[in-house]
Amino acid sequence: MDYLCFRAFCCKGPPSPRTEYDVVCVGLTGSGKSSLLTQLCSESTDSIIPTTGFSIKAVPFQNAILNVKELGGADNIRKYWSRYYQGSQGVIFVLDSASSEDDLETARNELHSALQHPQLCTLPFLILANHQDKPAARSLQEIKKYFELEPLARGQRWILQPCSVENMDAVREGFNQFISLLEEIDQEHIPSRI
Amino acid sequence: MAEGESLESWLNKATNPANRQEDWEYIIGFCDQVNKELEGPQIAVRLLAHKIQSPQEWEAVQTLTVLEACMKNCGRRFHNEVGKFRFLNELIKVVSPKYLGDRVSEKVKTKVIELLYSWTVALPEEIKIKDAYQMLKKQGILQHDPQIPVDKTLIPSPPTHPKNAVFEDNEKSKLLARLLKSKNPEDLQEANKLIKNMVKEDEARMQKITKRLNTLEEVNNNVRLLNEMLAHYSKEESTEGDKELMTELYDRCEKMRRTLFKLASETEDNDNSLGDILRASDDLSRAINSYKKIVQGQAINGDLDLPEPPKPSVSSEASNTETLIDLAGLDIPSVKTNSTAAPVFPIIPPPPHVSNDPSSRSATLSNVAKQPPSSIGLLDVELLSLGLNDPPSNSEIDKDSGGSLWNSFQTEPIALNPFTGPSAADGQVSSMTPLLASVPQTLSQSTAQPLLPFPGVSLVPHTPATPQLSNTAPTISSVPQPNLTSMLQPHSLGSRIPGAPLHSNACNQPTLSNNFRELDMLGQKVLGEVKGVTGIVSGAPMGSGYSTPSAAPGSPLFRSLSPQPSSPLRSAFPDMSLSNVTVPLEMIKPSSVLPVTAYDKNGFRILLHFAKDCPPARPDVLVIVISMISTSPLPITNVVLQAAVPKTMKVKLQPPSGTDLTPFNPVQPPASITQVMLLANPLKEKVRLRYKLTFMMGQQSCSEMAEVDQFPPAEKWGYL
Repeated sequence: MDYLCFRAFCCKGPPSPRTEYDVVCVGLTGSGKSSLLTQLCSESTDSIIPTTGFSIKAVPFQNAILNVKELGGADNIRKYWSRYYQGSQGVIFVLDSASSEDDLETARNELHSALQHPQLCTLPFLILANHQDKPAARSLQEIKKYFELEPLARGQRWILQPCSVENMDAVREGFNQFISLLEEIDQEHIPSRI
Repeated sequence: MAEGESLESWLNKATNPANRQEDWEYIIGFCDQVNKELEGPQIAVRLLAHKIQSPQEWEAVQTLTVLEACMKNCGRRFHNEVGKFRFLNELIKVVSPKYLGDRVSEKVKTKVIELLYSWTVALPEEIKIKDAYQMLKKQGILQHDPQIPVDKTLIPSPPTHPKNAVFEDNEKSKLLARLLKSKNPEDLQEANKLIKNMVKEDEARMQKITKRLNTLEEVNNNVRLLNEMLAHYSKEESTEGDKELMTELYDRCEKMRRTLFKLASETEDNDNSLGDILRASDDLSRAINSYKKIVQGQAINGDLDLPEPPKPSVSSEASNTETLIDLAGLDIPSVKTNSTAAPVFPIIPPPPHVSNDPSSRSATLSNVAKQPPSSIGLLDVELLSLGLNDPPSNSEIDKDSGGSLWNSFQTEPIALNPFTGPSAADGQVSSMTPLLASVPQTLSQSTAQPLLPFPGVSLVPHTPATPQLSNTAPTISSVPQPNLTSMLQPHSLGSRIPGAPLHSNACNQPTLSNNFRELDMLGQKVLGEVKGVTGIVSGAPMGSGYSTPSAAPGSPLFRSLSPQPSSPLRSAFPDMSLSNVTVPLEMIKPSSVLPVTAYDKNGFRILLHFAKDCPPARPDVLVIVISMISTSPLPITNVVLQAAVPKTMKVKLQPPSGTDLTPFNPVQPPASITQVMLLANPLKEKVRLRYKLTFMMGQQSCSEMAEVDQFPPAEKWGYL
């Protein structure tokens, strides 16, 4: 009661607690998952080694906090990805735009399996085409075409964001869009939200 | 990971107190080294026991992790070592306040108890572990069973469970899912660790597979090369270099055989890989044998220079398992392991029983064979533990091997006849009858057998073996019978023995009698083992081997056996023993009592005729002549009759005249099998006889079980 009055009078109450979303972050090893997330948390990226297992980070944004479960991308761990999907509300897929053809193909396969995985197919995807700062990086269009996102991910919500660790703004931009997607879905689920 | 490091160095690295966290590289390396070394498990448990007692908590905890990993990865060999009191005592010392308990940290003690408990659950066959755990409970050192998380009980059981990996996987994923769902950071850490462990285990598994593939390939190459060289080998022509190379190949083959056995015991994969390993080890053994034979000029299996039988059938059967190679070598004159000859043995021998056979059999054979008995025994033990061989196939192997031995005996009466003539043989045999009766007992190797579900099975007396045949584990023996009736019915012999060429073969080799004697002993042993269905007395058609010793009364075997008293008896009814009683067929006079039909189906009839008189000096014994006739159009083969009576009586089946009945031909008299059965009933109780009949009708195997109780009353026996 107090709170409502307060809002009515001041038009700005204490910031509503930021919603938390559980998302899972996957991608091949070396695509930059750990680095990006670490940077988003304003931590130093100097001591980053290939993730074995997984790590969980709570990444704060303006209007939401993302609890990101980040899974290692090495070959031997990749098969365990599906065990982490339970309970996720969104998927972040990081790929190295400047990797070799083979790696790119592997990444494509992984992305497709993720898109079609029963536990993930209804979730929004944030696809980060990382390493854009490298000369060999494919452009946004190329990535979109190569990964066949349009035909394959039709009916699904996805955002393709080129970025690199040098340019965190682009990253944040992508994430914010992603969060809006998540919020949309949230609101769909709770139709009568006051 | 450096190869060739010692167990100790691995363990030191894996349990280094300076480690920040558990170093799975070293832990897995240690497990691998344990598997590699011949004495790996023994040394490992000693080292582990020492380290667990380390005053440094982190060192001890890491050691326990290593111990756990070894239990998971090092297979049954390791389980056996852990399940010994030598190791368990060390663990007990850690938790018991009487020893180190007070100085050891709670964490270590709890972990030890958890491990012990999980082993009692996962390894029920290691009774000592259970004992140790119960003792700790009793002494109040631990109050209640620890609550162990699901994954801790997942010690993969010995490789009899190929599905184990899948099962484990499911459990782990459930656990992982649960942990991940929770918001508790500790749970998430746990999940992280779990994932990392799973990854490491996967890697280890892949490594094992590649190692196995490499080893198999190496084996194949070596075998191929060795065989090729052997093919081109000749004592004079081959160069020194060639000979050296062959020796080297031979050595390598021997080493690889050991490695293969280890691999086989470790593998928890599906059958395919195991089949490959076994096939490779078969090849190896064959190559090794050929090398020995050709190059070293030794006969396999003990200087028996026996002509190799030209039969592809047996050799193909021999490839079932490598054990057959040894026995097949003894398989001289039997040309055909035709079904008529071979399977005399009950189809029942249960696997644990059979597992005794190869080792004991190989123990015998080691006297004659050059091959190390352990290798054969080991393979068979592994085979059996892997559940690959179902009882039938195993018994088939035994049948074959035993059968092949029997075949060799078969020829002996033939050899006998030209020398002594049937009548003389008869005369000899009948005088030797009581002595011969004691032969099989002394020769039979007894092993503990589970009882078939016959009620009140009578015990058969057991006589101690001669020193020649180390008779271990004497519990209850079955009594293989000499084929006296075969001697006494020379006509039936003729019909049974296949192939005239055998006769001449056998006759022309005067040294055979000596060799047959040895074969005899072996055969008896094998027969005794394989027979081992407690208390069920079955007849054996091929006892003719004994006739050779009887024909050569001077033979040392016989002399040492003859003074053997038929005691101490194991049976609870010593006066009932039929071991010395044998009634030859022609001494039996029919009684006026009508015969009883025991079985009548599909043209196969079994009648029991009661004899008029009792055997001399045994008024409690009823003599029954079993006659089996066939009016069936299908041939009936491999007939085996087994009989059981209540405990207060005894039954003895003398060898039947044969095991096969030719299909019915209206023009000729029907084929028949005669078998004498003696029934001792001193307490004059109502006789109930249960029999089990197995035979092949045409291509189909049949088995019948029934009871007969229409016997003449015991008071009338002797006056029927």
